[in-house]
Amino acid sequence: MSAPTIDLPTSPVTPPASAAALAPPFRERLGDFWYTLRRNPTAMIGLFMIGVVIFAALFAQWIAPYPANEIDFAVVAQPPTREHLFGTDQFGQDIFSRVLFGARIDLMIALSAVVISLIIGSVYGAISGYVGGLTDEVAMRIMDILQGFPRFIFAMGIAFALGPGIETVVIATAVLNIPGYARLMRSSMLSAKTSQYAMAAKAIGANHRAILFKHLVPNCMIPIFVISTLQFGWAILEAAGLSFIGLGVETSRAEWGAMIQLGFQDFLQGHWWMYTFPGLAIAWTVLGFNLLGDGLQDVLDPRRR
Amino acid sequence: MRLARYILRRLLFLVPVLLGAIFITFFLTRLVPGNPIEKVAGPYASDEQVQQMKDEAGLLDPWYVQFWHYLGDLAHGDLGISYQTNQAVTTDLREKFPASFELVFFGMLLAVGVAIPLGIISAVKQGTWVDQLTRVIAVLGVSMPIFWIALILVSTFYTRLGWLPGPQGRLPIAFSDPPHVTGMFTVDALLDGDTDTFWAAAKQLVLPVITIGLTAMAPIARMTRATMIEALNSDYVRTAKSLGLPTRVIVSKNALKNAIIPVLTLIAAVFGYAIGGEVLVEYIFTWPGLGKYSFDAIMGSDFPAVQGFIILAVAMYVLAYLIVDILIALLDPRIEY
Repeated sequence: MSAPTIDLPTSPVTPPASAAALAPPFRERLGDFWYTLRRNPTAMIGLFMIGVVIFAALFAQWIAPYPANEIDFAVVAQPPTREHLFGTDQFGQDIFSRVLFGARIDLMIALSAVVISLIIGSVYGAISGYVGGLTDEVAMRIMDILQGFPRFIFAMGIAFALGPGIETVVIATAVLNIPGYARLMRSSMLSAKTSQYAMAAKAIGANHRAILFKHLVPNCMIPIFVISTLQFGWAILEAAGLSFIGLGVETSRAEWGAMIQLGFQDFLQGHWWMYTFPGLAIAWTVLGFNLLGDGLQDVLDPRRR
Repeated sequence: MRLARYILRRLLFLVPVLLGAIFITFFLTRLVPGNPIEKVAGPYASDEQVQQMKDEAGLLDPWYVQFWHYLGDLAHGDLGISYQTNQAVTTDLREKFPASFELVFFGMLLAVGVAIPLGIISAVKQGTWVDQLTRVIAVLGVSMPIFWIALILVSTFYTRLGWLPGPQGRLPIAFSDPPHVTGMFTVDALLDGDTDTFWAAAKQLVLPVITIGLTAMAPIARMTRATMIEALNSDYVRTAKSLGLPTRVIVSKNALKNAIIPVLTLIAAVFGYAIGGEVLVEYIFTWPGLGKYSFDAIMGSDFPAVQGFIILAVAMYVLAYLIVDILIALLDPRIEY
């Protein structure tokens, strides 16, 4: 890479002792950020909706009236009643309870997928942007290829290769999201590496790894976190889609997409409750993440307000 | 002439992307645990027979030899023979393509036709009910699973209300396919002058088209609104306003021309989602198109068919981007080509 030239301002102010001091303190920025966020109704509604889902996931075993897999052939395919708020499926399992337990699996899949793709994508993009030159060019062309696939088709291909299961869904969804993170991190890195704090870090003799991961990457994380909320939504939709067509989570487990598949098997019998409620759960959760993501973007990019 | 050179350069740029996609697809299908030959041979084949079949299929060669052969075949337009239909995959794909094309074409037409006007109106009249409606559509459309929308639509308009036919493919059983011209049943039926078949085919199309249209509409409306707002707040629009130009002229001539460019790129991306979403939609509507074909192929471990479908999907996706890039180059004088 071409070494950025040191171009510190020649002001009478004494240069700060540490390079990190040039960037505003993280905690203070976080406080400001929360202050603005609280005044953004979109973000707050989204946060509330996600809160409900997290609550359901954490306390499912206490809130849910039945276990997730209690087969009871006495109450097969019952429409919603007082005993079974969302009705029962063809095995007599209580759909309300399964929707609550489903929050666990779906949130865990989305969280794992987002964390994996965030780490791999950010490191990849950071190195690509920092090193620059031919490495960057090749690295980004590889991302072009991954993005050349229509998203869901690619997920299907991966799921097909790995065979059904929760891990499959996580991996397939994670791979899809890597290019997005890599690109975003790279473009932030391109501007961050020429910033003053980067030069200051270089000036005090920090090595490349320290500059990259201690000074630059932390400063590029905010947009990464913002798109993560949107990626969460995508991940849930894609995971549910894979499970629905039988390439993801098995229908025996209380996962929303798999539950819709069970409902689809009974579709012609008119058992609408079997697929309607799990679908509402997906829509509620994804909507929550999308609203939060929108709100965050508004807060961070004042031009959008 | 310069445009032709630009197109050529963009086409050359696509070669590595396509090659990479072929490579990845090839490897993904080789990763599959269940061996396809054992499936084809059936449970009663002896080990020797299986071995011999593998040898004949070239599956005992090292991977790079296999890949080389695959590329060679591909260059001749040969995607192999489907295990399930026993036909050339290219023939299968050609037969299934029109059904999917009809669906995606009308779906995207609906999406673009509704989303762009909605986005424009909502940007011009910010804060009105149209604007609120657009924002609701934009965020709901990307939050609901496409397969769930399909199920809800069918259960409402077919099971409950009985207004539209059920998810039983392109035509009800009583009808026979119109003579093949374009492969799009609605168009072919009209060309044949057969209005009964036309209406029957059109009715079958309504729900799947709305499903695809609804999900594709959301991001387009949102992007149109955002870029239009930005354009309306720009210096050149302010100048145009101060010159006393009528709002209609400013919106359609000054703002829209600038705002539409990012929207076009997005439409190409949405088209990619539509191809993917199609698999789910065709599965639900038992629509005999590419999506259903690929679904059956995946379920039946039909390697050549899966590979062929993915490569075709990537090619269509990349082609959509190319067309959009060319459109943008024509629209935007700042782009050097």
